[in-house]
Amino acid sequence: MKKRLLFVFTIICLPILANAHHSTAANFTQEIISVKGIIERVRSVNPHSSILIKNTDDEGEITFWLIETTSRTTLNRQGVSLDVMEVGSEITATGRKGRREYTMYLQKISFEDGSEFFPRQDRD
Amino acid sequence: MRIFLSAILVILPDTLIAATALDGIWVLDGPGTESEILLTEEGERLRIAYDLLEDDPSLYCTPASVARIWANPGSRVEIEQDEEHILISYELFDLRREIPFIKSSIADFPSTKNLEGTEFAQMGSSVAWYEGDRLIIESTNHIHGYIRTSRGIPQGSNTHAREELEVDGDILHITHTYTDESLFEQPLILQYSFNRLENVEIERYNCTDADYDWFIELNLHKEDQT
Repeated sequence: MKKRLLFVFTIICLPILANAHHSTAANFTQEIISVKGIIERVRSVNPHSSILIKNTDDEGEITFWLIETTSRTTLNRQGVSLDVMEVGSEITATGRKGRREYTMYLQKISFEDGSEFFPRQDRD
Repeated sequence: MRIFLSAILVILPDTLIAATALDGIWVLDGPGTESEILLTEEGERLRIAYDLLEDDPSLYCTPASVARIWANPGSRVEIEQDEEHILISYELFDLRREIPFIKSSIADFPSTKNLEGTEFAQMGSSVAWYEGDRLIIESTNHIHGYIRTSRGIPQGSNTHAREELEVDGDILHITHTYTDESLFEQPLILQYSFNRLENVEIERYNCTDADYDWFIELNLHKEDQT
């Protein structure tokens, strides 16, 4: 009897790996999307830096997308600067689709000249 | 003249050694672990009512709870101690948590404020003491907040928290136990580890509120078309 009770107690106390407890991870889905657009605004701030782009589809319909990324502090420590993002230039942003409409968590920026920009992700 | 030099063997008490080991700058190592979360009816009600995109205090540069502030990837935490206090400086939101070494009572004012002097009762009122080489921090007087902002796991005015900090070499281990019979069927136990950083400083965070209203307005024309 004592052995059985001990076994049950152990099961109850087993730690569960914290899964996506960080709210940034929860604000974005696991779906990877890409959006092409013209850079309208760049903000390097804490806790989340962002790039606003204007996408125009084949029918001329305009949609603004907010591409979010990690904090200014983290970017600085990575030696990465958003200064490479020039307002008016065309980019393709790839990342996790946001739960807030027309938002994305940045994984990669592809520039017209073929170069790419990768911020390191916040660890979940 | 003869000078007699005598070697004096100084035996440092464990608490002093522990205090020295705890001091320094730390950064979170991984997501940590948590025990099974069993909410009461009231806890579940609060969880269901939570809207991640609107109710997360982090959106407004406000700490949701002590647990949320500890468990922020990439943000540095500095621990300093003197005879009367432990001062924990969290880079996130420029928070400064000053905790007295008084075991007998807990103050009724918040232990945490930011560099502008704004107090945050979400992080409670705390006292600290050593048990052997473990630093114990007990906190009460919380206001409503969220232990897990990704899932709306709440805390409230009846919430009691106990943090146990222990250093093993250059690793800081924290066990964080939340109890609140009004919200949890059983204590919620969180565990995380931190790595020591050398030759770095805590940087000014200067948080910017997350305002999405201007962005939503940009695409309002699309709703008009549907």
